[in-house]
Amino acid sequence: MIKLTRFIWNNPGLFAKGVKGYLNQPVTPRLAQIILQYLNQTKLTVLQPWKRFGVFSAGFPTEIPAAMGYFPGYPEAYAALTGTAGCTVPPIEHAESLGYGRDLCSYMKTSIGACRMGWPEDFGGNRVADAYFSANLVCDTHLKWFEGEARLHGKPHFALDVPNLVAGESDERLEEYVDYVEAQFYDMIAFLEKETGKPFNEKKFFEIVNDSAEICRLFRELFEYRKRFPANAYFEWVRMFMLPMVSQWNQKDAIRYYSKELKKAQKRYKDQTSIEGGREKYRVLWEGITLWYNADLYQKVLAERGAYVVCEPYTYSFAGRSKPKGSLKETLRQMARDQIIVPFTLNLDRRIAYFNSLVEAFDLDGVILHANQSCRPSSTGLFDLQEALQKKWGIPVLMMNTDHCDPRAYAEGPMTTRIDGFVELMEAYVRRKGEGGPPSPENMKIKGGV
Amino acid sequence: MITVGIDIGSITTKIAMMENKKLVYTDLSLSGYDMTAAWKTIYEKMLQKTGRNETAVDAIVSTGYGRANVKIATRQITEISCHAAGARHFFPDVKAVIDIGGQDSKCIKMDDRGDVVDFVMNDKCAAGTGRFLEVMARALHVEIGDFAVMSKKAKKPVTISSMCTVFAESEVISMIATGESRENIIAGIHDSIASRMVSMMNRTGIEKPVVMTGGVSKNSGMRSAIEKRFGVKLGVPDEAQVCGAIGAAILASR
Ligand code: SF4
Repeated sequence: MIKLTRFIWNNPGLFAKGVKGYLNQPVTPRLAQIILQYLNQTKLTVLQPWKRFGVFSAGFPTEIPAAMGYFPGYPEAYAALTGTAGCTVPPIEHAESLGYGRDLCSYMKTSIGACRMGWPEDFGGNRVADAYFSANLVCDTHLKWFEGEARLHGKPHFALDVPNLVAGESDERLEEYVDYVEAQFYDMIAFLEKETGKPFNEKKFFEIVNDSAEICRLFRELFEYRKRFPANAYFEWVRMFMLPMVSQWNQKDAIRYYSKELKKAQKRYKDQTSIEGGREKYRVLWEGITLWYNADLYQKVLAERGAYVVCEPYTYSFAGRSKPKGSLKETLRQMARDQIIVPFTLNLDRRIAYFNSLVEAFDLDGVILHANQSCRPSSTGLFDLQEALQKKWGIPVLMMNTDHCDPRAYAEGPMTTRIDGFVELMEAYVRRKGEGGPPSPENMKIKGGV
Repeated sequence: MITVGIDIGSITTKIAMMENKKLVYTDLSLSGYDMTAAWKTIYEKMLQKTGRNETAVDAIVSTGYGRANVKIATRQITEISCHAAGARHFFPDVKAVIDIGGQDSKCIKMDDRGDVVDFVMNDKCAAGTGRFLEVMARALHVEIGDFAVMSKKAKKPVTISSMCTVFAESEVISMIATGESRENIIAGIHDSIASRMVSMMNRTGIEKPVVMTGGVSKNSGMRSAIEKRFGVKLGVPDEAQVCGAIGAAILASR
């Protein structure tokens, strides 16, 4: 709170901009309450020395440290929220002035810049953690970033090494990877026991794993309703709505919240595929991280042209947690498997197969691939993916060169031209689909100069 | 039926009028700071020169970066579709269009019927665009119109390795300092743009015949650099620079 007050005092203009940015998000009062509670709880841990504050990288299996009383703090989530507030440029520039290169991850730079400037969590900073936990399931940025923070503050760092499953790897190799990650989970338990001076709380662990699996199940079920016409929710909403699942904090409340939302969806659609309002003009898939600073891209630019993002593997990637098994060992093995097989990190073969299934399941009319300037891991393989999708479906694919958290990488004029061109291609594609015929590249060719 | 296409680009504003599918008028002027004034001026000039009344115009399509400025437009269509339609007007068999404009360059892939199936545009850097050539012309103290002739006199074209306009400019300046001939540098500049264009063309997997539109197509040195790298002969319409506006006028009649 002191940090926030100081921030407002020193940056009144930026604070006003931030509030405006937050208000521009399509959140309900209930979701706003959840987000605020999460941010406030992060700050309150300072006043609760008996609680431990952990800083985690996205996708880390927080269930294990949480069972030992660690609060899950996520610098990426704080940076993302700062992005929605439209306030990432000053911390990014500050980080760059410290020597971080322009092409390094903008989550990392937002977080590091905001931390060094003493900004609160609502604006990208975070308090010093009792321990830092990184997993490199998506990229190695986490490792060096968290290692640096831990070293700077003289705190312990636990680095989980998750191998990437590359194309053509055998099932035996996958099992070896599972063994490897499982072994590290035992190391983590030993690390936590040493840090806290307490034995591992298995009972709590099973309860947390059970709840996180339930949260993910509810999220996945809700995701299914996006296959209906019109989709139950669009990306601009889901990217905020996923926070309780991503943070895995206050799990019981998250379950209550998601259950209520699921009931609403069940009531809305019953068993109908299409309800009032009907199918969107253009149903789009978005691959990659969202543009946090640009809610208008989804709410206005795309929506005004009749295009809605009905599916994104990015949010779904966080929903892969499984139910606990009969024993600690089996549960840890399943967790290890869940770490290795994530839609966001699939190898190219699996990724293409997965996307092909999505084109059909979500009745897509177009695909936007985010070639992310500062997140190369999530941008790798996009050209191959584009080619494979176009070859199989003839579906329009837009490659969007920008950044998830750095608005300096988004040039409105050129981007609007590309989006308009993409919409023109979708118009012809939809027309062609309406004329019937199996979806092959030959007969899915796009008609008309428009 | 009389239709008009107005293409407001970052550097020039172009206009075309079609009457019963025949091209009857084209013109262009600088876009300048006030794009609305730019299109209005050439629009009024067109009405005057063709002796037409505004009410005789059945439909107007605006295109280009400034397309939203044309409030009287019946429709706005991107320059992607417009360049494709314009190129097809001159070359009915065209399968691909490459357009190097002031602030972007694009490769457009078309099917047998001349319909757009895919496009690729340059990323945000100005390298590979008309602006890049302008920056280089300034650094070399050469009129851009002389680029074609000078590049043909090159004995040993240099290699420009920087992928960014600003860095490429420094590279050129250091080459000048080391006494490299302007002819060799200009040929190297053409080659570096051509290499970017060819990688974009490969990405879209375009087929022949390929037509080049946009102001840069007037530069024969640039054209031959692309032809050499891609191994194709480029078709260039007589009205290459106004091709987008012509396409817009064609699409206005649909
Ligand atoms: S580089 Fe990409 S995957 Fe890595 S931390 Fe940044 S956003 Fe996440």
